[in-house]
Amino acid sequence: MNGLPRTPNQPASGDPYGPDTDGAVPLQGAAMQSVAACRLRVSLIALAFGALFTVLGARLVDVTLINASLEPTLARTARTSDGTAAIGLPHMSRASIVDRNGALLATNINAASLYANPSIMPNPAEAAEALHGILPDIELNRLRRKLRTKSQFVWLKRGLTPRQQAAVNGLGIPGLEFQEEERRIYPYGALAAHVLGFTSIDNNGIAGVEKTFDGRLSHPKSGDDQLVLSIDIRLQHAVREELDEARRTFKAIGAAGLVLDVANSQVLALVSLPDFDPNLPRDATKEALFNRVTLGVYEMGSTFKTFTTAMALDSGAVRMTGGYDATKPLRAARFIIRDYHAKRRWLSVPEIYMYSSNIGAAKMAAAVGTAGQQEFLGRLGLLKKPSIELPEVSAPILPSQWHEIETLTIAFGHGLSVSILQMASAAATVVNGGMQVQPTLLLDPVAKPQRRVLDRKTSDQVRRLMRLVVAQGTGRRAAAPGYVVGGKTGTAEKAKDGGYDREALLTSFVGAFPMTTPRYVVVVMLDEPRGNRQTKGRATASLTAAPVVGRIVSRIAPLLGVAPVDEDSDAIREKLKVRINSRDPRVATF
Amino acid sequence: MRRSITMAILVLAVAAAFGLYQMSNEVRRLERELGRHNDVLLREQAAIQVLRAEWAYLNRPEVLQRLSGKFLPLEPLAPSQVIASLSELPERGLVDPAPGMKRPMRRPATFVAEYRR
Repeated sequence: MNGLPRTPNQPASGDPYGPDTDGAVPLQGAAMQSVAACRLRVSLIALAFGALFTVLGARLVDVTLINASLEPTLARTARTSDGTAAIGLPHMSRASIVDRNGALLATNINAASLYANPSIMPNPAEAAEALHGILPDIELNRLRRKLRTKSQFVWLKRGLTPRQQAAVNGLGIPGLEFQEEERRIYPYGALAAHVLGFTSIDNNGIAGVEKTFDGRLSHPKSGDDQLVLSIDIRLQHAVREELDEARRTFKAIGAAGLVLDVANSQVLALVSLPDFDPNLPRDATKEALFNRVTLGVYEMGSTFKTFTTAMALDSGAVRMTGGYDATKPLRAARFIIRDYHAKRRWLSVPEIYMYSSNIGAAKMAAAVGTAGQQEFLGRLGLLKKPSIELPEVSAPILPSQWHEIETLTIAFGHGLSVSILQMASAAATVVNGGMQVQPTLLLDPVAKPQRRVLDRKTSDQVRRLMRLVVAQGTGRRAAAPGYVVGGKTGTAEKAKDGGYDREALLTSFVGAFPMTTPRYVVVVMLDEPRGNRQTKGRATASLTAAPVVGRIVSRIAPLLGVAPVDEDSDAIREKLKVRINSRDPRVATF
Repeated sequence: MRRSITMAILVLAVAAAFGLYQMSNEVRRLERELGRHNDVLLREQAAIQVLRAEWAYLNRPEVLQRLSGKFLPLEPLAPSQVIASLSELPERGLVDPAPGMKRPMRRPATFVAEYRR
């Protein structure tokens, strides 16, 4: 009460603001005016304090709830299984890619990028020379030109290695600055180049799975978020090394290899040679960037007889014991179909397959008919673009018209161009008991319903035939002792200038193992192999492609945990027995 | 009376102000410390990321193959070296020892060598 103004004609104890409390003198004149003034002042003060408290309250909300970013940057921690916090991986702007065993195939690391501010540089010419000593991949003249400008900002090099950064720092030249940037790196280099693809300098995926999953990769949920591929880097290495060896031995212009799990359609290895280093995609030639497994389509030649035989057996056009006359070349329209290893006699179905008879295969296809062939090849997925998680995929090239003559040539793999990926998927379907195969590069793909496209009995019969080829036919060099390999060779002449070039071959081998219950399909293709002294100048598939498959299987089967068996044991022989039913008494039952 | 209340309030106010100052000072110090720790953590995380990449790079199959060829007497696994099931184990050729006696153990290495022969 001390501070309040008091009117002189009022008792000190009285309450000037409550005239009704004691029912005393009603206020009048000057007294009433001063009381009103007091009320005004009090309410003004209350208003001022109220405003101050509102400001304080608002600031409190702002600091605690809204403006949390004033706190220092937090390191992201992850919870381990026992509930304790552990230092997780840093939150990068692009998720890593790993193989099925967790090997790091692609990841982001922080790297310094170098830029210059030439306007404050004391001696640009000297600086250019010093920098050229550290960064020899930038031309000296280009450095000079960049540093001579009067601008305040020029990029010199993005993504320096830590050593280069230290060296540039050591120069102590004013005007050279670093910018921390994330950089995509591929620790395994070219090893899985065609699967991974690569990214642009701004870390956008522009090829391979980097492109297919660009959206997912560029929005990682946490530092531990990663894309898990079905690829196994060890198998990838084995396949690449063997292919590279064969490519050099036979001076082939290219090579391709694929390992496919027939049960779950997962691709375990995919190699296309020549390849490139995804760390330096701009150095790659167009040839090296070309994916021969999925983007290239080829007339595969005799390997196609696997599907022709399966078709004839599946449709019931012929039985295993049946056969066709292959005494004379087959004339159709203006074409003459001849045999490469001509026997000039009646051949049973196993013999047609084993000796790779074009005449026999053509007659089998003729017995099924054009519509039947189209329907069957369609069922195996050979007539439409295959689906796989890569942007570089080609559709097959179908003949412009598909009449009887095309039916005959397609029977032995000419006139229809398909990719290695399609060959492998179709072969996997044929040997896995007839279930459809839709190849995938992901370890945990979205589950697709399995569909039966082939009779189990047909699959069993073709398995025996494929084993026969490796046991005593053209595929003998594909044998890998203990792992019961089966398969079919294919030597095709490449189409050039409207005809076929006898010198330019495309040799391939479509194999599977172990043939008792096939689990993996291995396809190998060599583009234009040249014969050498060891092969007496010949470059057929049985000499070039088949041995590669044998070596690959020997190396990868132990890694895949396939148990080796005694191939000569009665149980295995009985399981893969074929009655050849030859009219030549020298050919016995296998 | 009124004076003492005023004094008490004044003392309390000064004490509260001092306490608040101490507290905010402490908080600021702790925040600086947290910031330093977080900086260290972020640097370590970045280093881990680089080391992970380095680890993958040094474990390239071609490098391991070269090193293994240079320093280890190992070869690719031959089918004869694999024993996939118990039924494939070769006969021991040993009579069952008397009860209570310890069975002689053979080292796997000798095993493989014998089987290969």
